Amino acid sequence: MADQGSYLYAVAGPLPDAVVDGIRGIDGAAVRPVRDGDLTAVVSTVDLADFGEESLRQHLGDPEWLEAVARAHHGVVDEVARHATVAPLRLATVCADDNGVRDRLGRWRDALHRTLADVAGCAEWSVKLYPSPPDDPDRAGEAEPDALSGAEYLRRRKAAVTHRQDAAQTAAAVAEDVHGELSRHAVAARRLAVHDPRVTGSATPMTLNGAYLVADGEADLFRTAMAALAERHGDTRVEVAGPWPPYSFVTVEPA
Amino acid sequence: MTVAPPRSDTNAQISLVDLLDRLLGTGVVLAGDVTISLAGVDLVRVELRALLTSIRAEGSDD
Repeated sequence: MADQGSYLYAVAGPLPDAVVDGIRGIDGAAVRPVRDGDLTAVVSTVDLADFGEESLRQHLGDPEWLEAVARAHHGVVDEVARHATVAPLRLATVCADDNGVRDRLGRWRDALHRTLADVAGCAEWSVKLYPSPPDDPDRAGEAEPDALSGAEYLRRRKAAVTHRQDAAQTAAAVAEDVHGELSRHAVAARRLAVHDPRVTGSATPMTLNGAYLVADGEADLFRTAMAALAERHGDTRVEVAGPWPPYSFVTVEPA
Repeated sequence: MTVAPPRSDTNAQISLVDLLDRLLGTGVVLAGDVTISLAGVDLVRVELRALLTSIRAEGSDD
């Protein structure tokens, strides 16, 4: 069995060699184009000691390895995306050799063409929302319970819970509003799973992790709409990021 | 398929959490013939573990 494989970063249409020349991928390996008809896969050689099924499974448990590979993958995709429409591959797609790559380009030709057409001339933007922490005007429900009668303590406790529930409902409504409005300025939109509070480090849970496919010519309008929304919902923290390659909008799954 | 004009925007930084969201959860899935497959791997758990570790690494700068 061969000990090297061809790692796929992205698929594009016809791609001049010059676009790919000089780009380095995983482990600093040179990136090369592999063509089949008018489709080009962007590929580099990887060691199957790292990317074989069993070792890959082990590596996925190694955060440093995962980050290095993810950053290298993104670096290649992002560089090519500056010059061409790309359909990024999911992390760790490896073929035995370049013939295997060409075989896949041929087999999924129609789906790849469709997804490239879907994202042509567009980039992905991310918008995340965090509501401000609910201001508990009536904090006595949690503080100094000894100083209160039992009934008064319970009343305040209940009021505090109701207050928090109202705040959560309001935050959810704001997220709906923002996502709906931004979707109107986007070619496509998705709500990704919100991030774990341990990861965000935010005092309040993320209420929206939106991904928006925005036409390059519409990016200013999108940002303007976002600024207006941020003003409308002044007590919500907004994080806008992008433009990125259209990762969230090229989901092609083999039938 | 035509080659799109170069994007005018500069390289936008992407955080690790956003990147893993996308590289593990979306993207074109073409089963490789080395049968590299992420199927059966709990990617959310993988992602969370990587992120928590990277956060700890940032926090302990000594």
